Amino acid sequence: MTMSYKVKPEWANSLVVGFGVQAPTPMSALTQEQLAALYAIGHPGVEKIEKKKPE
Amino acid sequence: MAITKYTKTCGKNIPGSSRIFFTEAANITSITVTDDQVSALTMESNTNFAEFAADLDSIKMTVEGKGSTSYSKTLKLEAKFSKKTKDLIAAESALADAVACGVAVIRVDNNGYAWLSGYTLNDKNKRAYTKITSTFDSGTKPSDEDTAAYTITLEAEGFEDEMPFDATLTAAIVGGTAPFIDYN
Repeated sequence: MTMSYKVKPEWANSLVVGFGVQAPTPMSALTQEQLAALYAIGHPGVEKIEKKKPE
Repeated sequence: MAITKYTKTCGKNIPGSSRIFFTEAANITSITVTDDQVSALTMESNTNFAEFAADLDSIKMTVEGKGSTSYSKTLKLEAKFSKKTKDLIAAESALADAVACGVAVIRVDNNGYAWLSGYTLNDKNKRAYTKITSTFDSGTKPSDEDTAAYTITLEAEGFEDEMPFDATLTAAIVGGTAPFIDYN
């Protein structure tokens, strides 16, 4: 199982600061690490996608 | 920023504020802003905004912006708290401690809007409320109105106004379900 994080479309243009993001940054430009951190603290604009590894 | 048209919204305007919540500004770990409104706010674990129950119709926010080739804004939040008790002294003392590093505020106005100040998109917690003035007047007789009360004023200097919360977070804040607030 692999995991990745995706920004919900309606949040793509929202700006984020804090939690490792120093300047206002569109959510669509955040790294997977930053999205994972936001997801972990319950940010409503981030969803986790789980994919099964191909056998 | 170019000047664009501003259209007045018709409807009742109700001055005043109903509730205030304080936290150490460093407790906020991130904000997300959508269409110039706060759409998400996260905090350090085990921290939150604490509700301070001010006297009815005593909360006043003033914003003064001035400038020419430079520009600045001063935000002042004043609130009155009646009846001196050990809990009120402790609350005032905690605010005074927190001001040294900066305080962030959520204010709910009488129009039903919720506002964040002391933490901004551009400066995060660097332009928080860093000054406090507190005064206590005992009054002289039982009929002295508006006395035996602390008046606490917080002040922040920066260049941004309060930022409104979006409709979803405003509903949560006003409705008493915002996860980042410790309600009375």
